[in-house]
Amino acid sequence: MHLLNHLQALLTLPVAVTAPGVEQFRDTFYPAIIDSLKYFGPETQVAVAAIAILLLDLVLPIQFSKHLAWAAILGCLAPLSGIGHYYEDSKSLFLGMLVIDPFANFFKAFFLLGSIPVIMLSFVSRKLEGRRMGEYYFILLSSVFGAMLMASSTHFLTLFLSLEILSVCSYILVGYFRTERKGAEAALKYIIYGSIAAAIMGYGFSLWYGMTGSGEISSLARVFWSPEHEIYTERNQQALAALTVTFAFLFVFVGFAYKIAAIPMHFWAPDVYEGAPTVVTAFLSVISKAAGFAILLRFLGGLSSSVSGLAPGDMAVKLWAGVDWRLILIVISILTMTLGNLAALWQTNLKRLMAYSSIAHAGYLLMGLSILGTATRYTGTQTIAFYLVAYLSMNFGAFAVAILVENRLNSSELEDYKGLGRRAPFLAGALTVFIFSLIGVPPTAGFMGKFHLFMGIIDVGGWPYYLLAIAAAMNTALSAYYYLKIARVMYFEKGSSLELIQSSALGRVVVVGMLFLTFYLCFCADSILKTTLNLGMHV
Amino acid sequence: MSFSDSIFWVFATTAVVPAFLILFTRSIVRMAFLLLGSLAGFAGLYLQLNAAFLGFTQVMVYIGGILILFLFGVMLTQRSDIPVREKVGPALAVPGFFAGLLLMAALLFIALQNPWKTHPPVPVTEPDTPVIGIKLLSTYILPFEAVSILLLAAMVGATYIARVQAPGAPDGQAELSDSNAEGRLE
Repeated sequence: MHLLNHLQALLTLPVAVTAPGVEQFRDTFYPAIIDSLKYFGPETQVAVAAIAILLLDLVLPIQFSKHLAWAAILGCLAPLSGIGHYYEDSKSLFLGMLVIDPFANFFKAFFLLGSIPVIMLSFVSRKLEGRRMGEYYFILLSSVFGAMLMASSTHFLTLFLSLEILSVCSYILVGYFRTERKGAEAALKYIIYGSIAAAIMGYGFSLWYGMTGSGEISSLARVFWSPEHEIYTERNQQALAALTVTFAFLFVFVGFAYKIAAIPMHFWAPDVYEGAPTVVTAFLSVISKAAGFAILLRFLGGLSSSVSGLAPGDMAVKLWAGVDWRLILIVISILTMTLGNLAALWQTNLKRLMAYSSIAHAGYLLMGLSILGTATRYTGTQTIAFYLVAYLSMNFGAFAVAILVENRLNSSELEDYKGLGRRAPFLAGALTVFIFSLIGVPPTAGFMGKFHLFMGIIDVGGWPYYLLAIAAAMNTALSAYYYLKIARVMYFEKGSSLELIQSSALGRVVVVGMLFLTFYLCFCADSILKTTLNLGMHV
Repeated sequence: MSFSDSIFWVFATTAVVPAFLILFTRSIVRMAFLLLGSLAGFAGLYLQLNAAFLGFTQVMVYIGGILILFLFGVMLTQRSDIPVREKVGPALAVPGFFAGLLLMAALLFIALQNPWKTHPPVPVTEPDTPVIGIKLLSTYILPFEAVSILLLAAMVGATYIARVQAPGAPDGQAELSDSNAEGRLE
């Protein structure tokens, strides 16, 4: 009877009730939640679109099923108006679980716009032809929903949950060709690595929660950023506190490192990238990675100098044994880019090569993280956001070409790219541009992205940063070798066939769009950088 | 040792020992039963922490639901014995063992030495279910709703992957779609 009474009380809210907590719910929580809902519009729209697609597929005949792509694109475009409307707003939502701020809005728009080429490429992908696509687009949009939550979550509960939404959806997408042995193996590997990374991250959060008694990222970050925090001053054993913070930081980092495929959580990437449907590989390499960086930025940069009270350039708290946390990031960055590039040298499969290349790019992007909280002309958040947009253009471009070639040749082995320069002049030319962009040759987006990352770390100065700059420069040279190998194969090696490769119009549209973006980002870098400069975070 | 302390140790042992034994078990059915012991131990710990609702949910959902389903799943699926290869040589096993030992020592040190932030025990006079309900629909409403998307996606994915495939039908095509439904009936 007891429970029933409370239930009744909740259902008839305006009537005065005396149960504990109900008044607070009515007066404080209820209005706050209702108010939050209006800012939650974009996420709601994506979720509704996803479920609508799932239901729509039940009534559509199978030959129309592929046209659900248009509904999915609509589901990605519609929320943009809501994001634009509240772009500058900055407030905490859902009682501290979520936040809306320009940073979150930028990344939400990035995920939504970035999903459109993925959907278009799914539409043209021959391997997905003749299937029911309801589940596919539903899961794709759900993962976008997860990514959007990731960019705006400020509580480790929402963070963990959104990370899991993205991960679980990715597992399914990776194993989407369920009868293909390679795909199934890739999905299983991804699940195992993903669950272990999630478990370690959960352990890290529990350490943090045990120290601060709070699950909000800002309070965790405050410990991390300010040496004056009570957990250091209140305790006699400061070394112990620092050791605990170090472990908590590293454990939580493992969860994010897995998403961005940085060392030491990169092992899954090559197999998963190779085994997954090529469209999904493109999605993982850009959207999933960007989501990982968004949450890393939120986690590390959440308390910028203006918030923590530290002057820019002031060293934040040292970790255990006096190690600066940025030093850890620098080491991880150098290792990640070097290992990614070295392993890529021997690859003979384009998708596997792109997997190692994406590990290397995670290393470059980590450069931007290592300058957080320092006084530089280009802030870490700004350069990372810009680089991610540039990375989107060149990586989606390269994968679009790979998919269009795969449609005809049913292979992504470099062997089969021989003579592509003659068989598909447009695709080969476009791929060459994307390759140059990936190396970082002007006048492409990749050049501008790398240029600003380098500017950032050189501005900070100090030997660790110079070392990082040297390592990154050497890695760029190293990467030129294997990227140019693709161009060499396409232009200078004779293939067995001379038959022209036709590609679909929509696929060409994606390639042209990415080509345009690649050049646009180089010549109009300033306008994008201006946008990414003001990615303020709510605290 | 007080009575409640000894109860704690009983539950803690029930929770940890089976989990540890799983590592050395080969049979998946045994693993499932060991998991049952572990989950029951945790349910006991929740009960001891005055979290009655959580404890009983653990029993009902994990032990009563998920684990039984899991066992059914194991029993009903075709068993193709997959040989488990263990190719970890001493070159990896020895450093791995010591690294693991070191990590465990560090974590134990952290866990035992830190003055953790703890709440004083709250005396429970009446059922805490209404409080949990209000919390779920106020502070935790967003995770509560977002998890439904996660579960829906997982469910759709699971049914997609586990769907029975008509022999000869290309992968992923709707087997009962209008075009080939007749073919299947023959």
